[in-house]
Amino acid sequence: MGVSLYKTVFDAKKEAFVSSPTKEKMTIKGLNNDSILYQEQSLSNFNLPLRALQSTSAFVLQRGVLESDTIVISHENVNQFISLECGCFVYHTIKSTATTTHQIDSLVIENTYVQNVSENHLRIYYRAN
Amino acid sequence: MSQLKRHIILILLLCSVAVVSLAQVKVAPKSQKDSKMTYNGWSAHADIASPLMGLAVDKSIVTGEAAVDVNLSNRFFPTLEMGYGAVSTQMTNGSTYSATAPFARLGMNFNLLKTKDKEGNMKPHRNYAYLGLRYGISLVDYQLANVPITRGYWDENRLLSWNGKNAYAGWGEVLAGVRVDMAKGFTMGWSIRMKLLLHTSLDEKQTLWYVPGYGNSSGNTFTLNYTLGYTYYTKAERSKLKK
Repeated sequence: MGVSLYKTVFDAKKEAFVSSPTKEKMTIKGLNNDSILYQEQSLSNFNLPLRALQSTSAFVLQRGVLESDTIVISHENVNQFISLECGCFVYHTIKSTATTTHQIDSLVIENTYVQNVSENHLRIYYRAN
Repeated sequence: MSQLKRHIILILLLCSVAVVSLAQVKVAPKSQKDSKMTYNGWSAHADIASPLMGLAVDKSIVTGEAAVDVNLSNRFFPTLEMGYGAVSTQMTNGSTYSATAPFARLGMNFNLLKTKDKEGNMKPHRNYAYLGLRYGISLVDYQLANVPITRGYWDENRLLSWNGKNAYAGWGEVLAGVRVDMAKGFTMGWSIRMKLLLHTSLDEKQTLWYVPGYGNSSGNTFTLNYTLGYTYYTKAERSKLKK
């Protein structure tokens, strides 16, 4: 699942909150998984592996040294046989999302059908520091 | 290649074959006495190439097939081909596929040589080159097993299986070949075929990984047939051949 980061800041000229893509130093891992996916990497876009055999995937995201957030993705999985040589691929359809709000303001589903990991499927909006 | 493109290519090939055959018909001058379709004989052949290829190249595939055709005016040869195939194979990742299926193809061969002499009389044909069209169908009992799903990060592993009875697949073929009379009606021939899978009864047609009579379902396939058999000529045709 492709994820992109956005940050919401107050624009004094417009006198309104505006969101724009952002690059953050992130540490990311699956919930209850000791293996770290990204460690203190400056990221604006990244991929998260959804679970193939369960309908909920959860990830812990830490921005810098700030308190971490947990995002939960509920999804349906569809197994599609490709060929005897290539085996089976699992495609996902995102049904809903949830998040803690220590640093994250909100999540927006951009594309529910997760087949191509080069596409973007989820936007994470961080609050301004 | 998308399904639409496949269909377009097949239709173009069918049209080209039809144009060639019509052009050949137009070349010959019309004669009143020979204008109607005449029955000139029949032939029955067994395919030698497919079982030999199975033994020599891929022992996991066993196929046998035979064909009968009828000679109409030495131009048109309506053909019925029937056979039976079995496949049983295992990949290095542990996936296995086995299938058995009877199959049949119905179609027509078109003699490319002139069928009439300069006077407009029918010419006997012992040997000829042809283009042909077929529609094939296969009723497949299959089992696809031990296909792994892995998601390494989450340490998830599962083996999936599919199986079914009487799943059908239909395909089209365009072929070119020759038929040669070796001696006293004993004939041999060969043909090369391009095949295009048109439809299956399954939503996931890929799970019919190999269709006996067609081949691997993931794309177009080319096959070679080498046949031996017997051709019966009618009395009138035999008298022409003796001249």
